[in-house]
Amino acid sequence: MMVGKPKRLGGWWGPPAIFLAPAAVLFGVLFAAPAVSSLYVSLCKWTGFTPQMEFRGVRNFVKLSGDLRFWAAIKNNLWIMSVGGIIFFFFALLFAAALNSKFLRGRKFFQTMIFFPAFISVVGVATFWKLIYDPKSGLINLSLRAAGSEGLQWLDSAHAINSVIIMMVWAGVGGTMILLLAGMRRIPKDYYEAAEIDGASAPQQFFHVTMPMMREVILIALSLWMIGSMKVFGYIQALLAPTINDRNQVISTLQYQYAFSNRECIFMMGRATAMAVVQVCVVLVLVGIIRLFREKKSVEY
Amino acid sequence: MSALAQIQVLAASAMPLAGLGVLAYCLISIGILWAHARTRLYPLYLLKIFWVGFTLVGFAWIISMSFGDPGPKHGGVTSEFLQNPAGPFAALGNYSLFATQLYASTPWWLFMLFGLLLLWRGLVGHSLSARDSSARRRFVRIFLAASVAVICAALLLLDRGQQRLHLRYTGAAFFVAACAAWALLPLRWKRRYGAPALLMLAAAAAVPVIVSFARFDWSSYTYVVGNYKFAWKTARMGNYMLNSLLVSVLTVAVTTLCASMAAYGLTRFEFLGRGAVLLAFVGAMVIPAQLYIVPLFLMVQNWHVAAAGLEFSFMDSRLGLGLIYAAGGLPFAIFLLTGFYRTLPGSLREAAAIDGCGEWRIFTDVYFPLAAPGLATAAIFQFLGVWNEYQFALVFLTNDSLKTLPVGLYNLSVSQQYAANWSALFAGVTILCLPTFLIFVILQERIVAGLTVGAVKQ
Amino acid sequence: MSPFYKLLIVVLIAGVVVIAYDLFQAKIEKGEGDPRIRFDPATGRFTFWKPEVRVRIVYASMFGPGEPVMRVRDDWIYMFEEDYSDVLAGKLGREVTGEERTRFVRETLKQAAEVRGDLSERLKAIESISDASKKTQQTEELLVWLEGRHVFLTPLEPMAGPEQKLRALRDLITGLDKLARDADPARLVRVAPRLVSVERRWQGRWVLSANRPRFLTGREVPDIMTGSKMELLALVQDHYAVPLNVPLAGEELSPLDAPDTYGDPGRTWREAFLPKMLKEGKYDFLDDPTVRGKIYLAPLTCSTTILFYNEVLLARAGIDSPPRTWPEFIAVCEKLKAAGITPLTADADVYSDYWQSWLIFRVMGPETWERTISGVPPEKPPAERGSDPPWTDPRYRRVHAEIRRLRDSGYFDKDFPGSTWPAAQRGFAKGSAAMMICGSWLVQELSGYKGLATAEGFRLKCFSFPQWPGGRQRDQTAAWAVPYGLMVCRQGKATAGAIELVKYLSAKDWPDMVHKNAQISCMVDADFSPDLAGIKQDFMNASAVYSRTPDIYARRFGSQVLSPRYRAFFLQEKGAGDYVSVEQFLKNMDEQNRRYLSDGGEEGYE
Repeated sequence: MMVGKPKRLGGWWGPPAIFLAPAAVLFGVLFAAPAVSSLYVSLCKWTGFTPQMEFRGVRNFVKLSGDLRFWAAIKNNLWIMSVGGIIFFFFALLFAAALNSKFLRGRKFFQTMIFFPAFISVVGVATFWKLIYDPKSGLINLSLRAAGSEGLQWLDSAHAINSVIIMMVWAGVGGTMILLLAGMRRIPKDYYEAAEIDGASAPQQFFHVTMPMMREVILIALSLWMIGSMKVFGYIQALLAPTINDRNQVISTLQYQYAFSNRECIFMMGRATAMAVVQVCVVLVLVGIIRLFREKKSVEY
Repeated sequence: MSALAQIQVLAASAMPLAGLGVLAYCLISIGILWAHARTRLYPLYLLKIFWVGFTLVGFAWIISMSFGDPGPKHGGVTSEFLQNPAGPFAALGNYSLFATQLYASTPWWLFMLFGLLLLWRGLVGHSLSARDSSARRRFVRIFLAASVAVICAALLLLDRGQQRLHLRYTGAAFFVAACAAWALLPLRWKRRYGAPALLMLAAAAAVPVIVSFARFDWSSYTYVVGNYKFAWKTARMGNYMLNSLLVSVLTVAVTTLCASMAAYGLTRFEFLGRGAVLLAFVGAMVIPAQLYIVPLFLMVQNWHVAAAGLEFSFMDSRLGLGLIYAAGGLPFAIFLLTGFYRTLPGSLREAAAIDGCGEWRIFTDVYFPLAAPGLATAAIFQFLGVWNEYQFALVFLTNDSLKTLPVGLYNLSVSQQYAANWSALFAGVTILCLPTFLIFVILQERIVAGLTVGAVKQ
Repeated sequence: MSPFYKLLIVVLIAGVVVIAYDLFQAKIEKGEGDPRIRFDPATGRFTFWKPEVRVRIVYASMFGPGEPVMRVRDDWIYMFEEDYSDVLAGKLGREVTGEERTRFVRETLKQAAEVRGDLSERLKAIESISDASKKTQQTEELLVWLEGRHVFLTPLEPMAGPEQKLRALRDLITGLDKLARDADPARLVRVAPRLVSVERRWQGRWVLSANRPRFLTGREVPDIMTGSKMELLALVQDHYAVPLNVPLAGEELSPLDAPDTYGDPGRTWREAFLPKMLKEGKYDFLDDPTVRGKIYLAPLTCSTTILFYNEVLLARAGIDSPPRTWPEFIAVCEKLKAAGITPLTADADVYSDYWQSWLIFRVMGPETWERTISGVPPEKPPAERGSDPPWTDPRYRRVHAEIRRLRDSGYFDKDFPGSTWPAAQRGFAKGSAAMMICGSWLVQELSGYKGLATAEGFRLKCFSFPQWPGGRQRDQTAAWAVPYGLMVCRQGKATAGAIELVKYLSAKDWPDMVHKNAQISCMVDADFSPDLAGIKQDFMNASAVYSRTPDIYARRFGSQVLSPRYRAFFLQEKGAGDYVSVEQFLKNMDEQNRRYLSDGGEEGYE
């Protein structure tokens, strides 16, 4: 949706080319070219220490399809995306709705504090949560023990992914909340007044007025979350380092282990790149699905 | 203890207290708002409060641990973190026992006195505002009376002999505190806020916490100067901060420049393949760093010049890193800015064209200044992203004097496994987070404004 | 002016600043033009020099400035730079004339006068401090400050107390004063051109990955890499390593056959190593004829896996001496459990592989395992090999049944599945459990927790892995050690210099350091660390030393298939399959092993 008529140029490339040139050059040379050449790497066998690569065709992909660890990693990613996504959006919508309501004290304070974790370095967040999840002396278990219970094993192989979800939700909800809040603020008041006149209660207003009008924004937030949850690396690597149990791997960490890890010294760059290619394809598919839900005509305000 | 040390002890003890104080305030205010009919979303309040409280408590912990004793190798006595990883929060370890003992000394007649006080107040109903319906008033009165009765009965029944004495007193103490506050709150407040029991439950729960903090041995938390100095000089965080700053400024400037031009070109002109170009830029957000990091090495390997005794190589330099970050940051910046440019009116262009401006001048003199808010937002995001980025920096910069802050912190955390200066690690985390926090606080409105305007209108 | 142009200017200025700073970084950092002063506290002699670097050795290491263990001591590096510069100066004919010397000394003394002023002030300030720990800290800071001003006190014992260091500093000031007063100071000072510089790059655990782009591109390749045998395998496979028992181009003797110049010149360098450890520097198991018989890794230390125990807790349960055999070990665990002490602890599955490898070692011997995984006969290609004995052999069943028993009998700390490293060893130091299996590096790691001794106390002792009655005698006394050392890289620019440095470090630095930090040295001269006294007999008298575990000869299979499945088995989890029972685990491993071999082994894995 655009405001103002764009100038038609027909075949003349002049001005756009000038405007696009610096970005295109920088992007093309330092980003697109390597990314595209990595497609070739995914078809090769390569340790990454010598410039020589051995072309193997689709063998890497075939081996990937038989690699149980890869499937377990994809499952974890999808788990984070689905379960994590539900929790994430639950909180984001909740907080956005709360911040949007009339009766609130300290709105700016809450906004700041909820938004803030989104900007701390991944290393900082993970170190912070690692110390908090510590089963013997971490904050959470301490408080649980104070309340009388035994304390949970937050970082053992069965529960680590859920702990990661909690951490990601904590760190990420602020940004999405702001986005959703912006969307909410654009909804004119008359809709709410009309709903109130009709006798709708607060939750009903939320579901029947707020949500439909925020469709675009929610879809954008959803795609950002999907991309993020498929790409997630730093949080898990820094939280569960140095060795990540197989049940807790995600695609990016597994790829890191195959390609770069100094502990396992596997050095299978070809297969690792193939993994990354699969990851990108999955994300593109998911984002494409989301785009299907977007209305052709935008909502008029 | 020297004056400095005393100040340090106070500051260290204030930190977790401050965090908990906010948590307690939040708990109290839930209680207050829970019963208020006019607030619609009090469960949300509850959630938000725990959330924020947790964040604050966590950071309070980190900052107070950075005051702690670093251990014998670094001028301390014993490493505080190794001794007691929870630091001052370890005092909460035996909370229930402590609280029990604290309240066990409350005499029984105090309990009786305040119970009667509550009964009187509740039954008389001074607490309710005139606007509340009479049914509601009756309900509240009966509820209060019933709860007093139930609690008394329960405590008396459960108290079987000396062994159970503490149980009675603990419960009594909570209730006493609740009643006291209720009785003592000014009328005006009571009209606006209700729920004395919850209010004082929170306070009564908080009292042992505060006392345990006060009784904690803070004397070993006097190393803040040493720890931050260690992190700054020995662990070279000061050096790394300078590097981070240089790289960030360069990256932000380059990205903003290129992205503003590109976004303008993509929104203002219609040309063949525009959709594809836009898709290429925005779709690149999907691509993970590890996919292209090694082909990137292979590519930049030969980019070095040597002249007049100076050698410059693209790979092991901050310039190279800055440009690589800029390339990686372009997708998001363009995504943000195209949304922003679309909100600008096209009529200005016609006006400027009439004045005789060429395309370029239209951009630089008309649209670029208008786009300043969006650009500022993009710049801020780019800055924060670069400041926190550590994957590329870890691999591209091998020379220790060129490293950036997150890599430095990462090295510090790795080396702590051996050198065991945990307090410096906490100091390092604080150093890393502080600039982003400051930027965030100061520029929060700008960030929010930019995000909302740009992203919503797509 | 439009804000756009303002931004453009900012970009250009930023770019120029960064480029300039990058270009001059080295110069700024090192102050390359400034003279250096070295003072030897023992002899009181001064050495002045100005760097004119001809040979630059790049040393990429895992252990860096903040770490005491196996960090190359700065002062040894300076002394090496000096010694080797002399050798090079002789070869290149670069001598310092008398004229040059006098002038240089005079200029340097002028600069030294400034340093001397600040130094004496600071020294006075430190001497007035009463608090001992603060004094130590300030002394260390002062030495660092001095190094920043290019004044080095070497050699200084790293473990020396602050008093010795302060005395050395006072001697430095006295010495500088004497030189300043002397009519002809040049005769009291040694002036030598410094033609060698060693650039130390600390890259942490990721030293291999961080240097990978350098290997790829061939630029700025490190001359020396540190690592264990497994980590440096990649370098050997890709032919990046220089063998030490082959003469370099233009030389007659190989480095190992040359005299041990820095240790005992009367013997060859080869003789400075323990023979059974030196042969572990070979990588003969690779199916590569060019690699066979060559020693690539100079093993300077090694680590072995042993069982550590807290003597105090064992005494409390009435156990006087550590167990020697496996049944005794189980009995000890039972006794501890009966006394209410947790026998074993671990961090989830970290280090759990050791139970498996050691038991197989003792019960069947290490070559048996290799025959199972890599298959026999070795001459044939992997696709034609078979496992002998297969995983379903009753001895493997016995081994894994024992592990299962260990796990199920409740000997482990109940919190252990969820704890992350290093929580368990911290707990061990605090007295939460009696024993744990770990590598010998644990001693050094635990020394950081010395302040943790609880009221009961903690005394660290160790014993070798229990013997298996009924196993082959040789396997009960053989030891297993992972060698760790230095490897010289072919693409580096200063290979000859690098080999000299490796020789130097093997003689001077590492034996000493290693001993003080409770590592096990591979050098003949080094003493066995007293902290590891419990295993000294067994290790020194070991009939053979093995370093071959699956993560060396079957790296990908080991880390991708064997290790994950074993860990799932150990933690009793349903991994890719149900590993709660021994039978199922072994059956699955057998299947996977067959598949691994038929796919072409290690090379065919990708």
